[in-house]
Amino acid sequence: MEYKSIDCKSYNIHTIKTNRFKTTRIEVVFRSKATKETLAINSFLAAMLCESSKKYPTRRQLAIKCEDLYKTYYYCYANKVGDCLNTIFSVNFINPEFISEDDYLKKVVEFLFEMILKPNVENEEFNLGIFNIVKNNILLDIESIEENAEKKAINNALVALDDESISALNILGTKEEVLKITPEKLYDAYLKLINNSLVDIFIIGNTDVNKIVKCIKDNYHNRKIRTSKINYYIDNKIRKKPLNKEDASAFLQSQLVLLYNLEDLNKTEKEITFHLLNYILGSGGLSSKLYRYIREENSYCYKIASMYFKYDNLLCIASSLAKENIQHTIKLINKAIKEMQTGDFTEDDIKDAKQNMLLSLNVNKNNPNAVLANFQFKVFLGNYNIEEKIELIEKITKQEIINLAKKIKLNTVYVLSEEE
Amino acid sequence: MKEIKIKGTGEVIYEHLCKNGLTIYIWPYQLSEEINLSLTIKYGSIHTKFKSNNKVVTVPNGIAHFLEHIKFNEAKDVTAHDYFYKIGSYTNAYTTYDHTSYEVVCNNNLKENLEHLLYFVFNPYFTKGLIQKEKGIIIEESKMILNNPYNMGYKALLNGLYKLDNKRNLITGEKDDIKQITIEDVKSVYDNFYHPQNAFLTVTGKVNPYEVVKIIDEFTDNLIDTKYLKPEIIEPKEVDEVVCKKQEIQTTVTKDKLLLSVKIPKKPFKNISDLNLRILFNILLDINFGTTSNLNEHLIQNALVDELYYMVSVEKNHIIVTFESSTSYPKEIVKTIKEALNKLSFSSEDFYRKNKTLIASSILGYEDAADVNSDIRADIIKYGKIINNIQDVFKSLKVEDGEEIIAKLKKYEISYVILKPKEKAKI
Repeated sequence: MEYKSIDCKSYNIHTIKTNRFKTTRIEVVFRSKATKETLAINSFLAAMLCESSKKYPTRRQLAIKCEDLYKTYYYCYANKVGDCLNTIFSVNFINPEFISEDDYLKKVVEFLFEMILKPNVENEEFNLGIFNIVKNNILLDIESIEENAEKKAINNALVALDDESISALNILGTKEEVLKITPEKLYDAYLKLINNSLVDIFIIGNTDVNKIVKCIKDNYHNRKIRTSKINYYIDNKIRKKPLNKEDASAFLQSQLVLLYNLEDLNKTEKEITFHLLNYILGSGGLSSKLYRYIREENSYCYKIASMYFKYDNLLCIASSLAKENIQHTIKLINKAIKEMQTGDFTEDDIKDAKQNMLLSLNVNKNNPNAVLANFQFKVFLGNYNIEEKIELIEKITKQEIINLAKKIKLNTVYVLSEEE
Repeated sequence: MKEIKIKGTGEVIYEHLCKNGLTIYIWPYQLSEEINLSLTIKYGSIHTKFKSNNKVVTVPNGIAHFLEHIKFNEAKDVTAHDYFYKIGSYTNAYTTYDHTSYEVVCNNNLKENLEHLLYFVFNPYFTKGLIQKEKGIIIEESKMILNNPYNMGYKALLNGLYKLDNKRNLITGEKDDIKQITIEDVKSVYDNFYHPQNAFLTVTGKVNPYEVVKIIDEFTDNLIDTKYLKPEIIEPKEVDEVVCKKQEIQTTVTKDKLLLSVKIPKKPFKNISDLNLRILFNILLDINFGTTSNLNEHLIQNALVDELYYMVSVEKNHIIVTFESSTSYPKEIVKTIKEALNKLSFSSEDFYRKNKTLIASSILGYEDAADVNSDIRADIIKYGKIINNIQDVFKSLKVEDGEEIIAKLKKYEISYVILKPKEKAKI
C-alpha cells in the first residue's frame, strides 16, 4: 500500500493506493471540538445532508442517482471520538477499471461534492419537508436506545459516572435539544461546518492518484486555512469510592456494567499494552479470565464484554445475566482485575494474547475501512500504523502489563435490573 | 480436483471430493492477509425428527445449537477455543434453521488449523457434566435473544405464519426445551449427522488449493471410518394458510412496530428456478417498495412510516416476503402493503437499472475471503452447487419474466404482528 499526503493549503488529501480492493472509498472529514451544544445539531445536519441535496431533493432521487453510478454507496454521518466531533461524507464505489464509462470517476467525485456543497436550502433555510422527516427519525433513534437493554445500561452507567462529561453525551443529543433545532438554525450550523472545520480528504483504492486529486480540486475550492488543535482524549472524573447505582426496568434479563478509569496511560500503553491486557482479562473470548470465571465455571451468562473506550480513558465491563447472580459476578470481576494487577497470569497467556492481536491486525489489513481508520489516526494524532504496531507488540513485557493494570481504578458499578 | 470458473470475474473455485465423502471448496486469493476455514454440517434447528435404521427419532428443539456449543469440548478441561487461541487463530460457530457451521480465521499455521478444525468437529466427546453446565449458559443466551423486542416480535410472527414448520421455534430452543436435552439426544444427533458425507469444508484466502487438498486427504484418511447412517429428515409439509392473521404484543418498544409476512404458495411458479425466483422477487419488491419506489417516497414524505424494509425467502413450498416498519399507523400500512401487492408494476427502465446494480454487486463479491466463504456456503446450502454464471443469469432476465411473476402472484396469505409500547412500562 502506498501512503501519500498532499497539502492543498486549506485542506489535505491523503491517499492509500492499493490493488487489494475492488472498490474505492473517499471520505471527506470535517473536524471540530465536540461540545454539548454542537452534538445534536451536527448529527441532525449530517442526517439531513445524507438524505437530500438541491439536485437530488428526495431520498428516492438520491437512490436512483446512486444506482446510476453502479450502486455507489453515499453516506454522511457524525461521530464523536473523545472530544472530537467528526462529520464525515463518504462514497464507496466500484473501481473505475471495471467500468467502461470514461468519466465514471469524475461523475462520482462531482456527485460527492454536489451533496456536500449544494444542500437542499432555500432562503437560508433547509427544506422543511425533509427537515421534519429527519427530525422524526432522530427522535426515534434517541428513543430506540430505550429498547436495547445493553446500550441503555452502558449509557446510564456513563451518565452515572459523570453526566457533564462528553463521554456521557449521546451523539444525537437529547429529545429536548433536537426539538429546539429549526431549519434556519440548521443552515447556520451548516455554514459553520463548511467554513470553520478542519478538513481532510482520504482516499483508498486502486485509482490514479493524480487524476482523483485533480477531480477533487476541480470540485472543491476551499479558501480558508484553519489550524486549530483538537485534543481527543477525555480525562474523566476519578472517584475515591466507587459509585453503586441500580435502576429498575421492564426487561427480562438484568444488565451489569462496571466502568473503570484508566489513569495516565502513555502512547504505547494506549495503543498496544492495553489491548494485550484486555485479551487476557476479557476480550480474548472463552479463554479470557472473565469468560472462564463467569461463563464457563458458573454458567451465569452467555456473553461478557470487556471494552476499551480508548479516547474516554475508560474500561467498560458489561454482561446480561439473572439478577440473583450479579453480586457473585462482581466479586469474580474484581478477582480477575486483581489478578491482572498482581501478575497472576503466565508468559504463555501473554504470548497467546500477542498472537491474537497480530491476527486481528493482519485481518484489519483486509478491511478498507479499518486501513483507512488507522491511517486517519496516524494523520490526526500520530498513532502507530499497523506495521509499527506489529513490530512493537513483541517487545511488551509482563511487568509492563502489570504496571498498566495498576492504573485501572473502579469508578462505577451500574445495574439495570430485570422486571420483578 | 474440479475447477469452477466464475464467469465475468476471472475467479476460480476449486472443488474436491475426499475419499470419506467430505467435499472441499477452495477459493485462493493471494492478496488476502487472512485465511477463512469453515466446516458446515447440513443439520440445523428445524431437523428435530428423522428416520435412522428404520426407527423414527424425535429430539428436543434447540438440539442443533446445543450440540454446536458443546462440540468445542475435546476432552476434560480441553477446548477447541483454547487450542485455536494458543496458535493465534480465532474460532467460532453458528447454527441456522438448516445448517451448523464451525469457523476458523487465521493467517498462518494452515496445516494445524485445518487438521484441528476437522479433528474437533468430528471428535465425539460428551459428558453429562458438560451438558448440565452448558444448559445454564444457553438458557441465558435464549433469554438475551428474547430480551430484544424485535426478536420477540419475530418469534410471534413465525408462530402466526407457520402451522407445522419448525421455524416456529427459536434456534436456541427455550428454557423448557433446553432443560430436557439429554446426553442420548446429543449422541443421537451427532452419530447421525456429523459425518463427512453430510458436511463440506470451505477454504478461502491466501492458500494453495493443492496444498489444502493434500493436508486434508492425508489427515482424514485415518480420522473418520464410521459408516454414514444416511438419516432421512422428516419434515412436515407446511400448509398454505397462516395460523394467525394478526397479533398485538405489548413489549419494550418505544413506538409501534409492524412485522408482516406474506406466505405465497410456490406451486404456480414451479417452472421457475429458486435462483430466478429469488432474484425476480427481489427486483420487483425493490422497484415497488424499495427506496427508489414512489410508494416508499409517499410513505416517508407523509410521515406514514419512518422506515420500510422487506426481505424475500424462497422455501421448499412457499415464498415468504417479510416487511418491517416503524410506524404510527400500523393498520393503515397493512392495508397499503396489501394494495401495493395487488398492483405490482414496473417499467423496463426500472428493471434494467436494478439489473445493472446486481451485475456491479457480483463483481464486488470477490473481494473479501470471509464474504466469499460465506457466499459459497450459501450456494451449497440453497442450490447444492456453486452458482458460477450469476452475471449470465442477471443478463438473461427479461421484463417478461417480471411480468410472469406478477401474473402468477394471485394467491397468498398475510400474517402480521404489531408491537406496542408496554403500558406504564418502567423502561
